[in-house]
Amino acid sequence: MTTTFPCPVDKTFQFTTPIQSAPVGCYQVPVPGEIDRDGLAITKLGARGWGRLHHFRNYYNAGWGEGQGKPVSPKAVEAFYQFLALIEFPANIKPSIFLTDQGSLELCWENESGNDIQLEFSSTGIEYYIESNEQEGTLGLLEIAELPNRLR
Amino acid sequence: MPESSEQSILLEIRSFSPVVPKSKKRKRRIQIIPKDIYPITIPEKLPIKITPCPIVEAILEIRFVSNESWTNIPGLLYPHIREKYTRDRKLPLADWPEEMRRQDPDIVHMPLLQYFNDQYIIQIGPRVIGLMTIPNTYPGWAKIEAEMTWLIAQIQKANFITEGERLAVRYIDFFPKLDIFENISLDMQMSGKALTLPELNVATVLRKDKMTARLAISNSVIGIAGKEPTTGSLFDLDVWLGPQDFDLFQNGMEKFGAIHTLVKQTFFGLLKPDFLATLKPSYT
Repeated sequence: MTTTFPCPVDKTFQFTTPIQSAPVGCYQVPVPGEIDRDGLAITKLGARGWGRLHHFRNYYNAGWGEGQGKPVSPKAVEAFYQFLALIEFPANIKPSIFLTDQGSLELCWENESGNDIQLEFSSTGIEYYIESNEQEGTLGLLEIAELPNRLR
Repeated sequence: MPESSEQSILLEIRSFSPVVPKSKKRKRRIQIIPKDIYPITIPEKLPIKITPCPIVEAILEIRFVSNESWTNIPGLLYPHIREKYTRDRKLPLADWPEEMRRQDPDIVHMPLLQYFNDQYIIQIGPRVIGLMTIPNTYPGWAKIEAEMTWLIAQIQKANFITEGERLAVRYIDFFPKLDIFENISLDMQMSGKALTLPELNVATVLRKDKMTARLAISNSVIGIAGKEPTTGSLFDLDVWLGPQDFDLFQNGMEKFGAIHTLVKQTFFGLLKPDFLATLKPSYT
């Protein structure tokens, strides 16, 4: 492995001896049942995106940021993984992932023409914006299969 | 049928219907079970009771996210349950500073507080709440179901769950002085030979419909039989649904019921019939 595993970005406490489980030098055991999803996130988002998603899911509780940040929505995370399974990003493109203060996941990348595509996954649906044709809209969580077509 | 080991589960489960023609049956081969097939044959009839009851603990658990901070959550819940749950205790993890707990994903879903009476324990943490039976006093599904229905109503009144993340049923069974691997339809092999070791631990994840099951089996644990500790085997089965597959206050109990059914099907589907017969199964 050439990357380190995700660990808290702001360690308030430091152990004097390395007794913490993370960061681990050579392997990490995922949560049971999540290996496929972790593999998907690594493939589609790269190590950095996968690590950021791991942080958002595990280290950002209610009140993060300036005190008003909401924890990431489990339904948004579920939809996000479903989308990752459906989408093929342009070659050499690793999208950027963000957590909004409303608990949504935002995914941004540039298509082959260099135009922005932005998606926001929330507990109720997915908002999308496609710069190339100035198209924007919202889909319900159950309409996720339609999303890759809208992005073409 | 796929041949790639990446696409298949390589555990040999005898109860799976044979595909090899009868004439070739003598030459025993490991069949490769496709990932999308639940590798356990579900019995037609499921017992409602076995004796002695091996259930150590049954836990119904809800993982959630909340916009409330942990310091507020017990105060929101307790007024609604205190008439039935008169005692409480702080779990050791509660003494860890919040900053430390927050930084360890392995403990983020662990409870910090328990409220209990003579029959049940309600345990709660910043992202989890569960109903647990008192160890070794399993009251039966009907009673647990009724208690959980009541608890969900109280949780709804307390109004601290923003969104459900996971709905789970977990049963932990202990079989004293017994090697469970000799009595279930699950074989382990090493170099083509059956693996019969005094310390054997197996953990795997199975999927059926939208449910995920984590099964952990060990033949080398120490448990309590009667009042005395003894060696034996553990059968730990945790089955859950993800966030898009339940709405706690709309269909939570219905989903708990479906999960419980899969727990039973998996448990009894794995027991060998002659072993099950020794447990005096009751079907009525």
